[in-house]
Amino acid sequence: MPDRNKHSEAGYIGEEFFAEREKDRLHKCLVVEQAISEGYFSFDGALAAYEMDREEYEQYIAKKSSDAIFSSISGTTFAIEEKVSQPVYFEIFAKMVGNSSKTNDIDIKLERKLKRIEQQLLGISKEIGEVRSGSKEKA
Amino acid sequence: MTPVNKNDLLQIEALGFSIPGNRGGFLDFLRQHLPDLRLKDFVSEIDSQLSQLTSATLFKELDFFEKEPPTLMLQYFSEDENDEKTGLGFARTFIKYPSELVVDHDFFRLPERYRRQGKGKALILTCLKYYLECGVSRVRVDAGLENGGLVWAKLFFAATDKSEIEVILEDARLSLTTVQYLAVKNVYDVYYNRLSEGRDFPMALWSRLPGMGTILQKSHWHGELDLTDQKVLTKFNLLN
Repeated sequence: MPDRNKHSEAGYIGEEFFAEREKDRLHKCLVVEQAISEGYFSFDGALAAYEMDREEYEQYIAKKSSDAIFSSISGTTFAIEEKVSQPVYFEIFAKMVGNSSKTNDIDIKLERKLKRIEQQLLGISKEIGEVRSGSKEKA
Repeated sequence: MTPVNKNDLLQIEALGFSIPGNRGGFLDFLRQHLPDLRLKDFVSEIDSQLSQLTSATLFKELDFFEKEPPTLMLQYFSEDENDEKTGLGFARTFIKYPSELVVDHDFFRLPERYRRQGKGKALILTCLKYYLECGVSRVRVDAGLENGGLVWAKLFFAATDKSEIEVILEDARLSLTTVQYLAVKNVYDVYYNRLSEGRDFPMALWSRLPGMGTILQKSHWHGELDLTDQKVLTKFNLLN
């Protein structure tokens, strides 16, 4: 019988979650995001403390934002190219959605959904813009 | 949820599990304290994932204790389970407190030849599926065995004992550069300034700070994973 006073869960069990390099990098981004969002570090402070590459973190935020958008639109997530993970992309898309909601032939239910998507897009655009302006200030 | 029945217990016994006392008493216990645990399916999945990992004789045991807090113990181990290279061991305890259901991750060892192949991760995810289904709110672990101090920190288990955290902090002070230590101390200060007696210190934030990997690898602390925290579950899903 296992002696519970001596044993516990072996660490290599959990290491399997980080076996892939991509997962390990994702984990680091998750931690940095938590450190910022919960107020342990400022944005720049977190990047410095965790020796996190700014560009990599920006890409993580952009990817996360993209997934959130397409999940809200289609109910699923899928990878999109990095070139569309830019603030301007979201702003344009938000305007398109906003304009379409002003047409008369769209029913009220759809209009409300589109409005929510528009707000989400604008919020994400702002978030990415803030990250990018932080980059410029540092440079 | 269909309550567990005698046929389920017969199937569990057919897998080789010993069931304590009389079946009626065990059924009553499960229905009263763990009504949403699909015990037959849970142990079947564990058995299918673990039984092929050893050629040694296996022991499979279920135990329950009515005394407060009511407890269900599941133990699955090979006759050589104390052998660090070949042993197989898996033990979980469900504890029904008046206000919540908690699971202790007592022990998990895989034979060396099957480590780092995703088998441990698969079993942890299987367990989480059943925990969430039957209403487990917290998973507790004693982080310390074979790099566990670092790994469970990375997996978002929070530390519950401030004195254990302070031992690690002191180790960091002695081992790290000033800049590195200040970042570590900052996380400690921010957390305990908010919650002086907090019991969910975010070890993950320490786990990725430069220099802390080595320190946490040899650390020992008690941790919990909050299964009611949607953010934690989302992170687990992303790492899956």
